[in-house]
Amino acid sequence: MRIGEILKILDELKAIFQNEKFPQFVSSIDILIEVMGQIVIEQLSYHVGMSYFFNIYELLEKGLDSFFKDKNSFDFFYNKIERLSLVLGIGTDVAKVIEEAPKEDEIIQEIPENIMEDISLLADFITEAGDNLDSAEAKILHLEKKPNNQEYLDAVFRIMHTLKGSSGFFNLSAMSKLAHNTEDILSQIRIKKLKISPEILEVVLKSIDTLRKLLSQLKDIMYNNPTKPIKIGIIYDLQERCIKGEIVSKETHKIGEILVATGQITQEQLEEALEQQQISKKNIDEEKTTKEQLLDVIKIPTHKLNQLIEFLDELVVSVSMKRFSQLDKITGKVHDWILSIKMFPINNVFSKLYRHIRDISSKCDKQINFIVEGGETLVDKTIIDGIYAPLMHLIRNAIDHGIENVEARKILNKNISGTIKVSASRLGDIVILQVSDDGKGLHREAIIAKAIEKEMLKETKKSFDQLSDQEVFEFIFKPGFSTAKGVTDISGRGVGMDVVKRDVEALRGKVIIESKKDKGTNFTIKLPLSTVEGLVVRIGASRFVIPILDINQIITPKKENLLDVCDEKESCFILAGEVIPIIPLYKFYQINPDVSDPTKAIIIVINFREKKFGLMVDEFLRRQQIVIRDLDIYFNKLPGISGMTILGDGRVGWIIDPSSLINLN
Amino acid sequence: MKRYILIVDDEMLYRELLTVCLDVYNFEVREVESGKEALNFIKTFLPDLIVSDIMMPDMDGFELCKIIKSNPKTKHIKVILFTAMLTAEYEEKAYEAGADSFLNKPFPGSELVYRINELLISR
Repeated sequence: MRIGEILKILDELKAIFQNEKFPQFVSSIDILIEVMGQIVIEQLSYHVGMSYFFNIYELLEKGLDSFFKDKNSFDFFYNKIERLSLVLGIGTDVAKVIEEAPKEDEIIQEIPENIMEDISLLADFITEAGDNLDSAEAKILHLEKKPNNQEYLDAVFRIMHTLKGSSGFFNLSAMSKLAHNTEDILSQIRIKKLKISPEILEVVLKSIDTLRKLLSQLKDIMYNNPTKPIKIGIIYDLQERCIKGEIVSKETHKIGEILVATGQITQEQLEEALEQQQISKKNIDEEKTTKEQLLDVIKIPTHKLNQLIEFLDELVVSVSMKRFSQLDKITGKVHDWILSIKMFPINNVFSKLYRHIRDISSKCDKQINFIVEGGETLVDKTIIDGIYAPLMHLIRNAIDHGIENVEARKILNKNISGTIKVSASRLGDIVILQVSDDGKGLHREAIIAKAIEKEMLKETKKSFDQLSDQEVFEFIFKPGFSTAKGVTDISGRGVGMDVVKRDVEALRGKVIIESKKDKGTNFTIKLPLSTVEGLVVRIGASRFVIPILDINQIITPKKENLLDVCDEKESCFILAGEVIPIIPLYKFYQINPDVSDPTKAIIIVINFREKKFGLMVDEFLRRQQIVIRDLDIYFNKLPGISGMTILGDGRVGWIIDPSSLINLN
Repeated sequence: MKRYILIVDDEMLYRELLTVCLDVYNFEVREVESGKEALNFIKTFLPDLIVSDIMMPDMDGFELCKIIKSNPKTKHIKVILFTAMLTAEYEEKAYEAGADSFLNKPFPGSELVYRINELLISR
């Protein structure tokens, strides 16, 4: 069952108790809701949180049982529940704040009548407002670091002002009021009546969140999707107190708690948090769909569109004048241009990460300095959609297990605040993302020991020193490798790293780990863009494409360089003193080759981790820019193939994924 | 007759939870933070039963259990090990280490009490 459903049931239970006027029961339910909320916002770990939930629920059940036998006997159980809630730090003043909230604190908006005819106007408004809120949020987060930056403050102020106006135009009173209040808070800061503090920024962020929820509710209504009321009274309240200068740090620390306690968490927020909780494929998929919905309309800079139209004009002219030689050039340009339109800066992901990291690090007792670089790097939309979860996972691991606590860092003579750096850059056709920390690093020996224990490595007499670091670290990506034991003792890493690898591989990417004990760990994720440079090769009648980046060199070995290994004739060859195994692709895919003699065939030498392998093919045809298409599910079990493309001559080219191919061999 | 139960867990929140829930059932509960503390504790006071987490720094639950079960003075103490790890291997290892019962976190208090009663009655 989803946490959202549980919360719904609890809400119903609460309503029942409220009607029956049993205040003790009501507050027990509040505590249960709060525990759920703390699990969702990760103040409590899943296991501890659920244990509390179970036990409080049991106590409540027992209390109810005995209550019906003897009216007064509930107190005993209630005392226990209260004791547990005190341990969890659930304050009782939460309830008080809820009571103070205005009556109409929940709203379901209505699509104003005057707009019914032209619904597309509203759709545009929703998209635009959503984008503006995103950028406002990013700026607020910057403000937190540089509170004196007037420019950011002004920008957010303008956004709120616009939003107030445009939502007012659509008669969306709640949204307008929220934006108005936020504007007020900001203007108080501008005239220096309020001082920027994390508490006040928190209120602004919550306002932005609520505005976003209102937008998505509108969208649901537009598409006749089911929707839930959004609680906004409490936000008004917070805002008003903020404007009056009543927000002091002690109270605002509990905003999160208040929001959770009042059931303020919407489905999206829940899902987002859930996804962090247990990054499961399902949740990621759901997130993807919400994102895709939000991006129904893509904003394109006018100059790009104009350029595209110019190209198309040229195209028409050359066709009509039968200047076919130019066609190729122009279609090439059009192609590139369209690709550039569907690229987005990776900052879309980074700003989201930033927000979560801020939340997490405020909850743990470690000091973390989070640095982002290369946010302007343009990447495919598929990468934007798919990379958030694995990056988040890596960062969370770095915070949880990589960075030492303050005392440990002092002993090691490190700066007491740990640094986590996330950077993005482009290298030709690939995007390189790096997550590095200056924490304790991976423990090579411990990983080997663990791998032996898990029987992933056969224990032999020979030393394991021969294994390269990359080979050793690779183990943490194996499913089932990580255990909580691994978390504390071995490496401080490994929780669900297999999921990270799987997600990255779904984007056709690779993860590379570098780590030094006590110096830190660096994860490099290499992702291809949807167009890559590939080498088209032929085996019999089949065409394969090998990504250029994986290729080291192309060679036809001489007879004297061939080696027989393990009774297999000519299964390896020597290249510059290195023994390279030959993988005959025709055998692997059971194709009739034209050439089966290595000295006559072409060997494509590819790099795989720190080793080289030779793929044997009949001949290589050409280098080509290819657009990768995903394989249909009927083909998804094809070993060593990551996708396909349509080649210039209309044939299908199978795109080889060297890493999975080599793993299979 | 009051039964004495020793809770061993490095996590304060969990200790507190178990204490409260066993308290409801009229058990006399003591708590310690680590395996070493537990061993020190049982030098002077023998509980009827020990409930211990497996994953703990320094000495894990398996080791604690082995030590208790190998000492003739303490081997009669029943041991329940619990962990958040869902792999069957942990359960096997727990029984290998001599544990009398094994639980996966999160578990409802009634489940723990049921196991405790079962073990203490069979004694």
